[in-house]
Parts: sequence; structure tokens; C-alpha cells
Amino acid sequence: MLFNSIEFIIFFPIVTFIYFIIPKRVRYLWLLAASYFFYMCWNAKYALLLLLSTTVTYVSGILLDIVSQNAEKKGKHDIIKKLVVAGSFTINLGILFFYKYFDFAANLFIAALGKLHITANIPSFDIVLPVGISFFTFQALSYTVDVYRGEIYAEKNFFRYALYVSFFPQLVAGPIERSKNLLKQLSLPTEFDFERARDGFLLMLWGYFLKIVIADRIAIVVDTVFDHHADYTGWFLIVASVLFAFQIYCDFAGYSTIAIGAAQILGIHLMKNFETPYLAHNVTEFWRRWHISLTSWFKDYLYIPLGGNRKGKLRKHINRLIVFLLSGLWHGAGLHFVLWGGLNGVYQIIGEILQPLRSKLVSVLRLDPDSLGFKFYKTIVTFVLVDLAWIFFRAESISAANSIIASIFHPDNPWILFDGSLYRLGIDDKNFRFMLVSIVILVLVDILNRRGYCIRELIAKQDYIARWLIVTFAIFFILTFGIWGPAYNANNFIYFQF
Amino acid sequence: MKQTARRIISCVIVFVMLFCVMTKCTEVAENKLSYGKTAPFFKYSKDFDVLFFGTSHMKLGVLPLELWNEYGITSYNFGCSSSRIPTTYWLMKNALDYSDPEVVVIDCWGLGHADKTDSSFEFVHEAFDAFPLSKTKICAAFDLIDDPEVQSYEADGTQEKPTVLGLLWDYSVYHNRWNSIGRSDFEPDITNNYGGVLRPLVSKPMKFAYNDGAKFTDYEITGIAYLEKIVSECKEKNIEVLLTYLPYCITSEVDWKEINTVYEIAQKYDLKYINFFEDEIIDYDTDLADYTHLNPSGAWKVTDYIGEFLLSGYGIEDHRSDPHYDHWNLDYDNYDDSKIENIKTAVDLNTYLMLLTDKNFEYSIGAGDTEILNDNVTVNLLRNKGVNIDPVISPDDSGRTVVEVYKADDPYTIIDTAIFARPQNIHIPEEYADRYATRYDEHDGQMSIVYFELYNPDNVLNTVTVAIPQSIGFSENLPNVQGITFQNSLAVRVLR
Repeated sequence: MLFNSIEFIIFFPIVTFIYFIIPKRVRYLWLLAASYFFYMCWNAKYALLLLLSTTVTYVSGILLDIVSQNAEKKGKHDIIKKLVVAGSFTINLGILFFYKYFDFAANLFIAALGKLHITANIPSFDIVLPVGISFFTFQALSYTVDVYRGEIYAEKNFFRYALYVSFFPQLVAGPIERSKNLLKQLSLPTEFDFERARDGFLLMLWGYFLKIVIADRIAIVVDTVFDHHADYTGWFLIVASVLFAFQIYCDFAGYSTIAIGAAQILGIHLMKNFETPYLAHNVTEFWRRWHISLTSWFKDYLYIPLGGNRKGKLRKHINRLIVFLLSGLWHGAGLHFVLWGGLNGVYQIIGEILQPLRSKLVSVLRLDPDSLGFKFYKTIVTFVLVDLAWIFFRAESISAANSIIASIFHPDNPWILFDGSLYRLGIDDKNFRFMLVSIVILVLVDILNRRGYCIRELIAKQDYIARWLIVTFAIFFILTFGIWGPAYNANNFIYFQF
Repeated sequence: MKQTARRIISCVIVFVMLFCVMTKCTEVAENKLSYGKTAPFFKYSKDFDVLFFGTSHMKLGVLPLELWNEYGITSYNFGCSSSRIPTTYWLMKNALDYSDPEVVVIDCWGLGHADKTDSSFEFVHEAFDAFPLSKTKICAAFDLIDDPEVQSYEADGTQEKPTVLGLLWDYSVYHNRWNSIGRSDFEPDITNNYGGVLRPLVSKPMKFAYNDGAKFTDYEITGIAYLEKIVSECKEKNIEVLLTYLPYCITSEVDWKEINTVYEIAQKYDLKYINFFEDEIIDYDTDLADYTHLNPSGAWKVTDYIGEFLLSGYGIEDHRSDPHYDHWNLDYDNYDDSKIENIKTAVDLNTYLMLLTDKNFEYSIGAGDTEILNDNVTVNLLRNKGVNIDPVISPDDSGRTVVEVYKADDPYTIIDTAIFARPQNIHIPEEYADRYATRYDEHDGQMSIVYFELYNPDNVLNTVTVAIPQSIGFSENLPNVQGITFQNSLAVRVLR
């Protein structure tokens, strides 16, 4: 079920209520049942895949533990341990490959053979992508590696482990948790804490604001322009691209925030997934603030095993490029996703290579790198670079993205910004202006966050009447201005296809 | 413990505050169509002896205030656009929660349909929004949505997806009206016509489909099944049921099947049935607003007929002398004013004459243009009113037709005077008779026709301001009525 659905609004309070009234030692079983129910609302059959992934990694953990305990035959054990990890990875990635990448790979293969003038007929399967498969697979695999590295003991309780893989708030779109954080918390359920729950509720409200007030509204405009990019050229594409940057941010961060808030109400602390990303001063910093759980997963389980930055500069750049290419591939089975990832990797590599040059330039020109103007300039440049890359993410193909970017660099219709054309892209003038205002609010809140102010804490410090009014107003605001209800087509979170 | 109690109270208070805010917002944001239609029903719900149900055929076909004025019958018209029989059934059930009529009249259009509601769910809102949340309304929502066809309708920007949530908590649909809130959302227009609607237009009829006598035999068809439910529900409550099929231009054989099938049902349950196609009550040349709806002239005839039928067939009481029902007279006066308003704003001769078929008005007409008699609608309208054509026509230079309207019971008070002319028949000085040109200026529903000397636009010969003949874009939406033209008349109303 979607977070923005009536079913979830009924499901979540019931699950929470029962969670806190049953004895602590069975709470994880209740959450497990709720999580599987949550997942099976999408498609009951694919719960088997979830179960398979869970079982394979659970067994791998047990095996690794057994092998570690017989410490004498160290050499042989290392090989066995490596085999177990390899097996776990193969099976899990194999499932992921089949369900997500088979058609993509098959088409690439056919195209490659075609270049050699060989025609091949590979049957294409009508495979429905199980929701969240990229997420829970990675979460399960991280456990295998953590046990292998000795950073955590294997979880003996199968059901508790299964809950770790399937915990419903973050099951379908992250944050991708680590066993060190989540598994431990699931073993130690806490008492209900009103203040913590209220904070979590406010987080959820913020998440809903991001998703159904901002992201879904922007989506209407972006879809109109990007789906007809041959008709909407030049400045239309510029506007839509900038808006898309906010759409994907609000969509994804909104979901993560709801997930974190929901888990917090249940007493479980999930990792932060976004940290005011568009205020970053360079692309590398951006990736420390965007989809933090995935970036850190790739860092810990791919970048570092590849050698990280310990094998020289060239190797570091290559490693980074590999990580980002694969990250692109993780996001979608399509060359344009890979290109998007690669582009982000290239940005960082070039940025690092040019770093000494840029510093020299700054000192020669006697510019003050700490001044507000300079930081603002860096923020804008970063945003533009990232946004250009997003075009590859959003466009339906590389050639589409290329023509969109070509059009953006030759914008020949600036009047559309003034003659009301922007009010005919699927939402009317009032909605368009409202959208802009809500983006400004988001940016202001992000700026405050970056400076260390937390709005929720500010609200919590007010007296009770102010708090009541704020919460009432917030809920009314989301219900009134949100893009929801039978009059709209359900707009899935963008990240669900992953 | 005290803290827990405080916290629980805190949450409850927030809930209550939210509830109050949302209730007020819902009131403001809702589409007021449903309230406008049904406000008088809830106000006087126990007073109604007869309730009418059906589609827009019924809505435009029966006028409760005329029934009051002629016969003293207290009735309410619940006719609702595109209402399928199941929608009608549930609307009736909701209405019967508040009211206790003697007779329920059901127009049986839609008998042969399988879907429970129309794909435009806004019409279902029109029917149900005004009814408060109740067990009946909840059952209605669940039952109507429980239909594969209804569930297949998707939200596509012009209509919503039919859902239980949308019907029971209409804020889920109306919240996005925030950007079009207007005065009428705070001060809704309540129409006090007790559900009846006048559509003052005259249109050309379509070709009738052929009636081969076929009938539906499968009583499992949704429409028929729900009609039987209506009948059994009324029987349980000791309410009489009168079945009707109001007249319009039949373009599809399926409708004939429905009409023929109603005989069987009426016989099966021993009910009376008025088939308006059998008794030639209306004139298809003059009494239609469009191919499928009656105009006021048709509505008055139908209402009259039903009024007589109800009195004689069911012994409905005449309440005109009962002081408890005095407000009906006030409402009738308002309705009468609106009829006069319609007359004053009618823009072409045929619509004007059609509105004057009302037995409460009389008129005298001096026609200076014989051409208008080439329009057989005009001729029928004159003849139907009993106007003797020959003395009427006295062709003169002006080419204008003048009509004076007065009340049937008060010929000395002129209610309205109107002048009609064919635009091309305006007076031009003799010397310019063959060298003039015209230009048109259109604004605010009026058209100025300026006659000027050819090649010399500054020499204005005559200016006439006419009201623009109305046409409604109804035909484009219906696949089987392409080519329909709404020909009102040759003569338009001259204002200056």
C-alpha cells in the first residue's frame, strides 16, 4: 500500500496501537506480520521473493558464524567464508538481475549481436518488477557482509531477522538500513514515548507535505513538458528541469521522512537519508547529502572493497566511476540511468582534478571563498550540474535527453515566462504560484536545517495552544492543498520502480 | 498518570479542532449544486405527498410548483442527470428516510442499462451530496461502487474515479476547488422550484427510431432488478408506485425496448404506467429544448397530465386551503417571477412564443413579416395557443413582429413587450436599398448590426441591436446526434 492512501492511514495507527499493548517479547512478530501484510498488498506472490532473499542471507549469516567458531583451520575457513558471501551475493543479485535487468540485458545483447550482423531471438518475459526489490536485496546483502567482517553476530532468530529485511516503513523505498543499527533495535523494543512519537508524527506530516503537496503538484507540470518535449522547447524545458529537481527531491525525501517518522513512532530510529542536498557546494558534497543510505552502502560494500582511495589517485577515480555507474544502473534498467550515474561520477572526478586550479584562480582573483556570494555561486553551479544530470534520469532515453539538453542550450522563447504559458502546463495560475511558494518554503526550511535549526524542536518548545493550532493547521493544509483523492490518478512515489 | 491524561486530552482536542475545521471547509468547498436542489426538501420534508424520481428527463419534465398551483399537490422532483435506476433506488431510499409520501413516481429511462451509475460521477454527487452521512448513504455508496463497470471509470482530468471515499467524504474530491472558491460557495443560490428545472429553448426534433415491439426478457439486468427493488421497498412502506416514461426524441431502439418492458413490470406488480409516447401529449416540433429534454412548454403539458392522473388515480389531497402549506404560495410567486424573467430575456421569437404557451399568460401579436410563417415551429406555437393566424399578419414596412404579454387573469397589466425581426429585414432608406453593407459588433450576449453605405462606413443608415440567438453545445458530446441543429427561429429579438 502507498503511504499516501486511505489504507495506510488506517493500517498504521492500528499496527502502532497493538504494538504497544502486546508484550515486548512478541512485538517483533507482530511487526513482521504487519510488514508482510504491507508488502503483500502490492502483490502477494512476490512476498516469496522477499522470503527467499531473507532465507538465503539468514542462512549465510549462520554459516559464516559456524565457520568462524572453528577458528583453527583458518586458511580453509577464509575460502569457505568467501564462498558463502559469494553464494549469497550471487543468489540475491541473480534474483535482482532476473526481475529487473533481464529484458535490458537481453536487448543490449541483441543490439550487440546486431552490430555483428547476427540476429538473435531471445524470448522476452513479461516480468513485473517486484516493488522495492532493489532496496531489500541490498539491505539483506549488507547483513551478509557485516557478519563476514565480524562487525555483527549472526542473528539466530529467523523471524527477527526476517523483520530486519521486511520492516515496513523502509521496505519499499529505503532508507537502506544496516544490520548494526536496525537489527539491534529490533531486539530491544522500547516503551512508548509520547514526545518521541509526537516528533515522529510531525516528521510524517512534513513528509506528506513534501510528497503530496509539492512533489505531486510539480509532477503534473513536469510530466506535461517532458512527455511532450518536442512541443515544449527551450525555456519550457529549463523550467521543467529545475522543477524536476525539486520533484524528485520532495518525492523521495518525502517518502524517507514518512518512513523515518513512522519508525520513530514505533520507537525505532532509522538513518537520515537526505540532508539538505541542494545546498551542497560541490557534487561530492551533494552525494554525501542525497540518498545517504545508498551512497554509504556503495561506499562500504563496493568502493572500499575495490580499494577506495588507498591505491592511488587514478584507481580512486576509476573506483568512484564504477560506483556511480553501478549506482545509475541500480536506479533503473536503462542506459540513460547508467549515463546519469556516470555523469555524476565524472563531475566529481573532474571537480577533484580541477580543484587545485580552482583554488589558484580564487586566490589570484582575490575572491573570498567564505563569503555568502561565493558560497551561493557554488551552490547554484552544483545545482545546475546535478540538474543537467537529472535530465538523463527523467527522460525516456539517451537520445531524448540529448535533444532536451540541446534545446535547453538554445532557448529561443523567453517570453513564455511572462505571457502566461506557464499556467497552461496542467495546473492553473493559482496552483502554479502556490507550487512556487511551497518550494520557497522548502528551501527556507532546508537553509534553517543547514544552520542547525530544527523546526520540530521549535514547535515542541511552544506552549500547548500554539502546538494544537500548528498541528491542526498542518493537517488541514495537507488535506486541502495536497494532490490526492478520487479526482487524481494515483501518483506513485518515483522511487518505487526500483 | 496525570500527564498521560493530559496528553490524551491534548490529542482529543486536536482531533476535535481538526473535525470542526474540516467540517467548515467542506461546507465551503463543496459543489453546491446538490444543496441548491434539495434545500427545500429538507426544510419541509414531511409535507410531500408525491416524490418524483428519474433522470434529467424528469428534472426538466415535471414542475412541482405548477402541480401546487393547479391541483394543490405537494411534491418534490428528485430527477437527477443521467441517473441510472440503481442510483435512483438509493436516492429514493435516502429520501424516504426523511419523508413519507403517498406516491412515488419513477421514470424508467435506463431500465436496460447494466451499469449502476453514469461514468460522470459528478452526477452522483449531485444526487447525494446534500444528504447527511447515514447508514443508508453508506450502504448506497458501497453498493453503487460495487459494479465492475463503475470501477472501470478512471480519473482523467474531467471526471473523478468513482469511490466510496469520494461519495461519503466529498472533501476528498472537492478540496481541490480551493482555487475556484467564489461568492456562491458562501451564499449558495437555493432554487426554490422544488427540484424542477426550466430550460427555455426550442429545438428541432430528430428522426424517431423504429419501435419493433421488442422487450427485455432477462430480469437480471441491473436496471430491471433495481426497479423491482424500488417497487418492493415502496410496497413495504405502503407507498404507491407510479411508473412513467417521459417523452423525448427516441433515437435508439434500446429505449423502445425499455418502454415496452415497463408494461410487463407494471402488470407484474399491478402498477399504473404512463407511457407518454402512447398518448400524444406533446408536440415534438415545439416542446423540446434539445432532442432529449422537454422545454417548459412540454414540461407544463406533462405536469398537467400527471397532476390530473395523481388526483384521479391516487386521491392525492388538495392542500391549497390548508394554512400549514401557505409558504407554497410564496414559493409559487417566486417561481412565477422567474418565469416572467425568462420571458423578458428570451432572445428569439420561437422561444418567446414557447414560453407563452403557459396558460397563465396571454398575448397579442402583430406580425409585420409574413416570412415568419414559413417556420412551422412558429406556426405550431401560434396554433397550439389558439391564436388565429389570419388577423395576426398585417405586413408593413417595418418587417417587425410585436408581441404584448399580459397575465391571463389580468389583461390590463402588460408584463412585457417584445419586438422581433429577421436581421435582414431592417429598414434601409430607399436610395441605399441596393448599396449598403453590414458590419457586426458582438458583446454581452447582444449583437449590433450596423447598416452603412457601401464603401462609406461613416454613413450609418440604421443600427439594430438584437439579442444573439442561443444555442447550446449539447450535440457535440453525443455520438448519435451529429448534425442536429438548434434552430430557434428566423426572427430575433430587437432591443434598439
